[in-house]
Amino acid sequence: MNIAFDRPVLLVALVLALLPWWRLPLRVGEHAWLEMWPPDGLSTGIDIGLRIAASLAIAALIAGLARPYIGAQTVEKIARGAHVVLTLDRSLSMDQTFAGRNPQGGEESKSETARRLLTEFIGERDHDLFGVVSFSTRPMAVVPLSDDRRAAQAAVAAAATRGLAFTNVAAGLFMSLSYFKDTRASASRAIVLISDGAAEIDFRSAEHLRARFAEYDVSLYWIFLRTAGSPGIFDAPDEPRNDNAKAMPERYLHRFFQSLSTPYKAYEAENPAALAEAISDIGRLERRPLVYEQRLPRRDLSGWVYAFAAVMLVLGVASKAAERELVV
Amino acid sequence: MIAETQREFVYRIRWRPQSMRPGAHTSQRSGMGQLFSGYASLLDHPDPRRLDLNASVRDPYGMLYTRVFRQRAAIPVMLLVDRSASMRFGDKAAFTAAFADATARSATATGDAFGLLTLDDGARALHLPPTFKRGAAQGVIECLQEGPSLGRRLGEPRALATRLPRERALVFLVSDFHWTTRELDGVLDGLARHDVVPVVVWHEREYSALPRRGLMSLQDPETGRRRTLYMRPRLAERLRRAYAERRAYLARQFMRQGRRPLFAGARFDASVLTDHFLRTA
Repeated sequence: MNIAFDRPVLLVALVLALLPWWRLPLRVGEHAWLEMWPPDGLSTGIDIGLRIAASLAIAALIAGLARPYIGAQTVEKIARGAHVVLTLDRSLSMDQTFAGRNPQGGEESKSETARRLLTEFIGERDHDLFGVVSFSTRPMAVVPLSDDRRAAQAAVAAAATRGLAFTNVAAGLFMSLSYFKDTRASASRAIVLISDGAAEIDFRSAEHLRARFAEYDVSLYWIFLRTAGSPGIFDAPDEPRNDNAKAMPERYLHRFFQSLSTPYKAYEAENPAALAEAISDIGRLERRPLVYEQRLPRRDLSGWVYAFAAVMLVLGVASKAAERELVV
Repeated sequence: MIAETQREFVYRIRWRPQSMRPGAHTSQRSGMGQLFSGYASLLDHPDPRRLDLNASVRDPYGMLYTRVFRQRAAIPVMLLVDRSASMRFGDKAAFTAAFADATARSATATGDAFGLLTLDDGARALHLPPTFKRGAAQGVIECLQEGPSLGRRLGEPRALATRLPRERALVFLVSDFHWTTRELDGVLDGLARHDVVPVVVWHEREYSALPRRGLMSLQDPETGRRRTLYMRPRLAERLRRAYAERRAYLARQFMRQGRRPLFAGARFDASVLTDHFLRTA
C-alpha cells in the first residue's frame, strides 16, 4: 500500500499549508486591550481547530492537484486448485455420437458433450488456471494457462467445430506439457486428455514424454470417449497376434501412461453421464493448495482527497458564516 | 469643533499653592486677598489701607494693627494625554480633544497656566509648557483631534518628571489606563509630586453590546496580537466582570495617590467634571 503522485513537484506547495498558522481569513476587529479578555479554553480550542482544518484543506487540495494514487500491485493469494491443461482431440470421429453415428435431431456429438461438461467444469473451479490445447494432425495452442475463464470456455466451445482425420496424441501432449515450462511449481498440475481414439507413439517420443512428465510433475487424466463397439482401454486382445500397438493403440497408450512416474488415471466414458462422472472425479482430486498472484489495477485517490478537502472547507465556510464584528 | 454650550468646568484644589502669581486659589502667602488670616503690626506690614481700627483701639498698649490676608494664587494646570494606540478605539480621540479644549478654557478662565504633555514615545510627543497665554493650546488641541499617534507604547515615565513644572500642579491624566501594572506604577511615581486627577476614558463598546454568539477575531492595537474568540453570553459576562474588577483596581491605585478617578463616558460633558470636583474636593 504505497501512495505515489503523478505530479510530485506540486507537493512543494504544501508549504502553503502553514499559512493558517500565520493568519486566519477572519475579518479582524480592533479591541482596545486584548488583555481584558479572560482566558477562554473553548475559544482557544476553536482557534486551533480552525487552523488545523484550514491547514488540512490546503494540504488536501495541493495533494489532490498532485494526483495521488495507489500504484498497480500484485497480491499473492492462496487458494485450492490446480493448473489444468485441457487437451482436446479434434479428430473427425469426435463429431459423432457415442453410438458412432453422425448426430441427428436432438442427439449430441461427443465433442458437444465434452464441451458442455468442460464449460461447467471450468465455471465451477474458481481458482484454477486453465489452458486449452487441441490437436489432431498438428497441435494447436488455443489458450495459454490463465485465470481467464471466459477465454478457456470460448476455446472449448471453438473445439466443437469440425476437425481433421488424424490423432497425433504425442504432439498434443508435448504442447500441453510446454505450458508448464514457465509456471511456478507450487500448484498441482494436471493434463486432462480427452479423446475418442488413440494412436501409436513412437519410441523416441515416448521417452521424451516420459522425461517431460517427470520433469514438470504433471498428473495425467485420460478421458477415453469410447464409441459403442470400438475397442476400449482395458480390453484384452482376443488373440495374442492382435496384441500390438498397431492393432490396439488404446491398450498400448494406456500401458505407456501407466509406465509414467507421475500419477495417472484413465476413465472410459461410454455415455455423457459417465463423462460427467469422470470430470467431477478429476475436480475432486486436483485440490492442492495453490499460490497465485493477483494483479490489482492502480487506484486514483484524488477523489477521496478532494472530498476530504471539501469537508474541511465546509468547516471554514461555517466559521466565516459565524463571524461577527465588534460594533464601535 | 466643539459646541459652544458649557465648555468650561470648575475645579478645586485642597492644597495651598505657593505660587507668587495672583490667581483664583487660596495660597499660603499673605498678600492681597479676601481671606483673612490674622493681624500684624503696622510696622511689620506697613499697609495703612488695611489698618484695623477696631483691633487697634482694643489694644491697651496702643499698637496699630493691620489685617493680613491670604493671597489667592494661580497654579499650573497640566493635561497629560495618553496617545498610545489603544486610544484609537471608538471616539476616545474626540473625547480627549474636547476634554483638552475644555481644560484649556477652564484654566484660562480661572487664571491658571495651562500646559499639555502627551505620553508618547519619542519624536511625536506633544509638549506645551504651562503658559498663561490665551489660545496657546489651540494648535496642540488640533493635533490631538487628528487622533492618536502611531506610537504603540507609552513613553519612558522618567521623562515625565523633567517635563512637568517643578511646583505642584493640578494634573489631569487622561487615558484608558490599558497599561500593565509596571507602566501604571511608573507613571504614578513620576507624578507623585502633583495633584493627579485621573480621567478614565473607556468606550462602553469595549465591554457592552457585544455580539451574542459567533466568532470574532480581535487585534490588539498596541501589540498587534490577534485572538479568535467564540462569543457567547457567558464570555461577555466574564468580560464585563473583568472590566468591573479593573475599575475597582484602578480606583484603589488612584486612591493611594489621593484622588478618586473619574470614569468618564464616551462623550465629554463638562458638568460631569464640575460635579466630580464638587464631590471630591
